[in-house]
Amino acid sequence: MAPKTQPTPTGPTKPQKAAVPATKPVQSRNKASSFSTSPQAQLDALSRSITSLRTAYIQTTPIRIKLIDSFLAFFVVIGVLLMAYRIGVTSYPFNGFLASFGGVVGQFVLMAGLRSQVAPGRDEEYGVVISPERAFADFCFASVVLHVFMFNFLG
Amino acid sequence: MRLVRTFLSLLALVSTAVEGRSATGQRVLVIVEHAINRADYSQFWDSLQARGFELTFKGPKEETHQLVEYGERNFDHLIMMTPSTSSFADHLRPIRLLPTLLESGINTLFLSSPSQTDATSSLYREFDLEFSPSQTSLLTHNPLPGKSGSYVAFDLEDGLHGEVPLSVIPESVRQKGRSASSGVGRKMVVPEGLTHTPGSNPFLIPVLHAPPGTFTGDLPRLSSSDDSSEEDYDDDNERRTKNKLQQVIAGEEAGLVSVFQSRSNVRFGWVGSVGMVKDDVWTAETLNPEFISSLTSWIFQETGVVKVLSTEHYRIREAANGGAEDGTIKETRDRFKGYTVKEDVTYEIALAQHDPSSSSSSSLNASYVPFEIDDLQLDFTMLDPHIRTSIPFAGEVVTSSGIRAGLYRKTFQVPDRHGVFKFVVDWWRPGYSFVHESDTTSVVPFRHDEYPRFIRGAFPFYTGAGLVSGGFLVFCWLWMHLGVEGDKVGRGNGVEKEGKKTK
Repeated sequence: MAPKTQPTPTGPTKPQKAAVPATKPVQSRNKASSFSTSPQAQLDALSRSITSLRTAYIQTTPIRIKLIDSFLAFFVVIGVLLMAYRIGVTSYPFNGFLASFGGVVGQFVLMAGLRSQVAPGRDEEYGVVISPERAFADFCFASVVLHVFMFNFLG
Repeated sequence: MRLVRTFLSLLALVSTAVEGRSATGQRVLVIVEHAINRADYSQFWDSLQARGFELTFKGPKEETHQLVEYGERNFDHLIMMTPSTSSFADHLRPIRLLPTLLESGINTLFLSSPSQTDATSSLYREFDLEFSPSQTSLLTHNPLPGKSGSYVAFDLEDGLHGEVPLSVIPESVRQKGRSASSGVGRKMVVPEGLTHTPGSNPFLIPVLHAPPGTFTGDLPRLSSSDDSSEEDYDDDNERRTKNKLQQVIAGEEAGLVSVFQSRSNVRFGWVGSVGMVKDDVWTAETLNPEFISSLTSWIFQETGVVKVLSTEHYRIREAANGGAEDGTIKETRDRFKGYTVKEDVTYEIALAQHDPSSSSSSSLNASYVPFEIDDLQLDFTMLDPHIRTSIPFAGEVVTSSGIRAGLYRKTFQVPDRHGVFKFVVDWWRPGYSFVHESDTTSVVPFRHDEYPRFIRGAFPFYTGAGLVSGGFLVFCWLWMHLGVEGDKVGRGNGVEKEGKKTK
């Protein structure tokens, strides 16, 4: 027991530290040099990766998912505006703020749920097949219930 | 003939009612002990009868003429001229007398003398008055010529207690007493006064105390010859200080006249010397007639009597139809239909003061005049007062019973707290009837439809909620539309595309 515990604290840490500098410079010598050399090159790399991400998103994402994403962004903007108004101007009547802000958040959550059910590759991940029609019907029903509560509480 | 007689008796009844100057009644029972000759006090009785009181004289042991019979009182006031009596008729025994007086509201004047018994003193102890032992008296070092040391004459302002209300001893009497110091005369005369020490009972009002230069000591026994009495008195005093080491009672501790008003506005008075109302000092040269008359006026509920005639609380609402000129209506609420939080509510109270001088008018109600003060307070209380505010005088009003009264009105906002509240008006001032009025009401929160709606500041919130719902509808429409456009952009394709790409 004693000989085993002795090397363990030092064993895993020191070889790793030694291994990382050993492997990294070899694999990404060019990259490392470009990162460290100029900020301009760094920015170029960043913009390149963003462009590739954008093109990949535009090309590969289905139109309905894009629709969902744009509405998610829309709800985020409304939510931020409401909160800014509540902090900056007034929170009276508080139930009005709670209803609208809660409605925005709730709608965002429901739509995110819809996205997770209809996004590509989700069936494989969860092992359950949910048809997009079923997912959309669930979303609609839950949203209607949410809106009923929201307007009732709005006052 | 019979009709005329009934008419006459009715007239007599009315006339007696008209003469009434007391707020509670005119019947007085006077208990005089046998040691006292009531003829010696004829001026005092005459003065009372002149004020409309019907005096009934009885001895302390007479069982007839009960104070209260079958719950109804036979007499409104009582004068106890029984200092040396130790055994009373059953209904006058101290243990039965005290509850009777308090429960039935019989105002009482007690007259003392140095021969007072311990039983009587212990009754007075219930009122926080500690009487000096019997056979002691108020004494002076400088007796008047031809008088003994127990015959004390002094200026009123020397003996009047500093906080005596004007309703008990009015300014006119004080004025007459003040002229005594300028040599005109009119002094208070207290022959053989038994002193008492008033306690700290807040219901007690000390009126007269021993003037400077006087003290309490043993009563000089031989008052016939001057020389021997002087010696005797000195001897007595020396013996007292030697044997008993009793402290000398003087000044404000040696009270001569005190009055008391109970919670239920029953009034009591103590006069330390029965000789103060005797005929030989009840003269134009002394202040005793004025002083005793104003004192009995107060005790027998003629002065300082304040009455609450009515209270009301309401809210002002916009009238559905009709109402006042401005389209509002006064909505009185009872204790069950209360008020809503944050609502404006108005409370009104009408106070009147009894005026003995105006009783010559035809109706008894006219003997009340509006009562105007500036320190009335209103509490809106649930356990603790949530609101305590002054309630100002708002003018005169004639009540439904025809009495002119002073109206006090206050409008205030109900606190944001629901529960059972009370409107409380408490006005306790020495020398006046205690005013305590309490009306219960309930305060309820807003009903569901009573909250304010469409508040301007909340429009961003309404817009936000509308955008969420509108966004949802637009989203649904777009979703259906895009779905119709082609399955090729649907999920299957996306998966295929993605699959291809990754491959």
